[in-house]
Formats: sequence, C-alpha cells, structure tokens
Amino acid sequence: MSDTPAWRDPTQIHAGRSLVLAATGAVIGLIIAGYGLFTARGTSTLLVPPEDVALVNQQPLSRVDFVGMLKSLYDVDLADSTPEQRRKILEDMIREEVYVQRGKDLDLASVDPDVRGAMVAAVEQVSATSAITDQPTEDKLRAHYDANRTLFTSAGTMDVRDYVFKDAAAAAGAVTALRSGKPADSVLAANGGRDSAKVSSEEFYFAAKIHLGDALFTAATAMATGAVSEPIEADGIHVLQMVKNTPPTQYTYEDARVRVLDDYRKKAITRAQANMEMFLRKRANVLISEDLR
Amino acid sequence: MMTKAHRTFRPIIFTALAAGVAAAIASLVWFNAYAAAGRLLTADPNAIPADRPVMHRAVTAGQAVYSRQCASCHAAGGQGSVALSTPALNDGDWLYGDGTPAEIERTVSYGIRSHHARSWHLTEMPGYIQATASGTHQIIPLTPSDIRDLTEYLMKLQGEPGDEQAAARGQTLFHISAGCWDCHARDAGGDRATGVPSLTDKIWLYGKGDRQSIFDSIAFGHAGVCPAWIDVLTPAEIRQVALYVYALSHPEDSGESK
Repeated sequence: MSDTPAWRDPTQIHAGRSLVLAATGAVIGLIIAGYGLFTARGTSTLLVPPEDVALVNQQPLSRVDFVGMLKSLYDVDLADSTPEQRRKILEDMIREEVYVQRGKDLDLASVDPDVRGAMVAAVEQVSATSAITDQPTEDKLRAHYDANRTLFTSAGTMDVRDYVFKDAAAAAGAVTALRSGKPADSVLAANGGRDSAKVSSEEFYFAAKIHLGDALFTAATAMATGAVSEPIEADGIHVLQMVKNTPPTQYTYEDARVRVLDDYRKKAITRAQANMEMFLRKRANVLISEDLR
Repeated sequence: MMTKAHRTFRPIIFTALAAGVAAAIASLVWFNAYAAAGRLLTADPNAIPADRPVMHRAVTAGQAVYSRQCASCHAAGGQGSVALSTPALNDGDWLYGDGTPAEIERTVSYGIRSHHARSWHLTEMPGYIQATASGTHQIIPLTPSDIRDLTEYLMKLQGEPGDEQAAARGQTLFHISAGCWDCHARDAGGDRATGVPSLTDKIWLYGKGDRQSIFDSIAFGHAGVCPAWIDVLTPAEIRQVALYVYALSHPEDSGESK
C-alpha cells in the first residue's frame, strides 16, 4: 500500500478531488468571462496590420490606396518616394479619415443632402459590386440568351420614303403609279403629294421609328425592299416606298456572348439592388403619418 | 527510487513536453509565414520583382489564387479569350496603366467598372445606335453609313486596304462630329490613364478586328467589367496574384532561379 494520501494519487479515483478541480475550473472561467465582459473596449490593437499604413481610431488606411496616391500625386513608386512625399500623403489620408469619423459623429447624413445622396449611391454600389463579383456560368448565360433572344440581334436598317397626300383618292392613284415603276417626283406632282423628308437616307430602325412615328414605322418594318405600301392614315394620308430594308438578324450565342454577359450583369445588378432595398425595408421600422397612410 | 506516482506521471510529462514542442514548432512556422506576409505587404510592390526569393514565393502562391479566381475569364496561362472578350495578361500590352505590380494590384483590388467607388470607371464606349449615344457627353447617334465610314478609317489605321473615300469621310467623323478623338486621342493611340484602347496596334479586345466586329463595337458600345476582389481575397492574396500576373508578361522577373 502506498502511503500517499488518496486525493494526491492520480491512480485512485477521488470524488472530492474531482469536485474541487471542476469547481476551480468553473471559477477561473467565470473570472475570465467577467473580466472580459466588464472591461471590454471593443477589438483594439496597437499593431498596424502590414496591409495598412495607419490605424485611425482602429480604422485602417490601406497601403494600396497610399501607394496609389503617391503615384497619382507625385508619379513615384513607394521605394523612390521621399520622406516628405510619404508624410504628405499619410497626413492627407489621416486628415480625411478623422474628418470622416467626425462627420459620422455629427451624423451629417441626417442633415446634409450631399452626404445622404453619396451614401445612397455608395450603398447601391455595394450591392452592385457583389452582383458583379458573382461570375455567371455558361449555362446561366445561355439560358439568359434563350430567354431574351430579341435583344441579341444585329441593328436593322431601312431607307424609306414617306409621301403625304391630301386625300385617300390621290394616295391610291400614287400607289398604283409608284408600283408601276414611275419616278416618284412625277407621281407626287401628278397626285398633289409631297415627300415628308422625315427619312432622307438609310437609318437604323431606332432612328426611323423616332422620325416616322410608331404607326408608319410598324408598317415600314413589314415591307420588303422596293415595295410600296397601301395608303396609311396617320396624321394625314401617307404612302411609304421602301428603298432598302435590312431587318435585324439573330446573333448566335457565341457571337452575342459579350452582349449577353453585359445584359445579364445589368439585370443582376438591378435585381441585387431591388433585393437589398426589399431587405432594408423589411427590416426597417417605418411609421407613416396617419394622413398619408 | 521511483515511486508509483512517478511512474504514473512520466508518460503525462512526456506527452505534455511533446505537445509543447509541437506547439512551439507550429508557432514558429506560423510566425515565419506571418512575418513573410508582412514583408510582402510592407514592401514597395514595384520593387518586389527584384527580390527573387520573395518574388518566387509570391508568384507560386499567386498562381493558386489566379487559377481559382481569374483563370475562368483570362484563361489558365493569362492569354485572354477572344470568345469571352477578356484581355491577354501575358503580352505586356496594358489597357489601364503601364502594368506595374502596384497598378495591377489596384485593378485586382477595386476592379474595372465594378461599381466599387475606387474602380477604374472613367470611360465607357458608347453605343452609337441610340437616340443619345452617351448620356453624359450628349454624343449624337450615327447613321449606318457613318459607322461604315468610321470602320473603313479604322481599317486604314491598321494598314488594311479598303475604300479610301469612305476612310476619308470616317477620318472627318472621327475628328469632328462623332467625337471619337475625345477619348481615343487625335492619333487614335488611346489613353492608358483612363483605359481607352489604342486603335492603331492591331490588338483587339472585341472580335478579331474585322469590319463586322468593328461596326458592332461602334454600334452597340462596350463596357468591360472586372470584379473588385478586395472583399473576397486577403491583402496578401491580392498582392500575390498581382505579382503573378506581372510575372506572366515578365517571365525573367518570376523569381525562378535560372
């Protein structure tokens, strides 16, 4: 038999020792937790992280920005810069940071419309940034192309003449004459018509639509090169003569991929911003005055 | 004489000692890595290529980051992609800046038209087949024949044969009504300070420099995007990948021993 007391012999189970050790551990844990809880001042460090050039009230000033400003202001690399140049840039950055922090303390966003506008724009940018960083897969892009094929075409062009007549009878006579191949000038003179000159040469579809108006443009897009329309009533009696119509042609996915990605991103940004607004509104406690409900 | 208690405690002491030694080694490894990252981050990025050991470690680590985040667009070897309209990173031709490690690091951090406030975003190629080609500059739209004439002028700048009269009309458009010179410069040499490409060097980001792709570029415009990685990658990873990209066009500076 060993003469060691039972509580000191680790080969022997001793309930009292277990209890004391567990209690000691609990007390130490409580002391650490209590100290941390009642003396907490937020995360604080005295070391400047290597990726930063300074901490202003624990707010980091990025080294990338520091180097970029040296380049912008003095056109020098960090290694070639003088101590004065580095000090000037650093002082400028610190000045900006302390003013920004003071602006937050003063809650300028609640009173200054410029600050409010800048903050709204910045938050919109944040949501757009995340949408751009998320790279779509080829499958997603192809699905987007399939769902929006009409967006990915060549630009249609048309060269069309728009003649205006006093009445339907004159217009009908002009249609017959033009279809028989008579020169437009003589047809207009014989039927009392005139060229509206809204379209005088080859134009893209979008421009022709603006110049002709919706009704005439819709009629024009259906016309083949060389065709003469029936009289069209649209703020006067019109007859269209299509000199050349080149409708848009569908691009393949491969040819349109850059535009598909561009369109996909634009819509992803719009969606991300809408989602963020929805989230913010949902989280916000908004009370509306009774007279405006 | 060894007591029973001694015999019992001996393996515990050895285990504790072994654990202590392992922890010390791990701490040393971690501290060394931390210190190396610190040296990498506090150094002038443009001076790092001259420090072969540091450059070699950075390029090796940067390659892994590149493969994970950049290769899907810029291709595994940095040769870019005509199909994806992403620029080559290994040819020494830079759209933004002169391709120094610091400039590459800025692009990786903040991106191009990434909507990050510090991204490169001063310019955008307007599409000329809209009622207002550029909202900010009030550029007027062009007709199909205008764009064909401009295309001929750009083909002529590449030294390609074409319609001389159309090219002459295109030259007038370039320098006057279309306003192309305002971004692309009078000599069409572009501007690296704002990311405007040269139109004289036969390097094309969109298409292969044929008439149709040039026509489409003028008609529909372009605004290429590179994401901002500052909130995705660590500062060390950003610098490592910037140095790797730099080394793609400067293999002699990759830090590998010759």
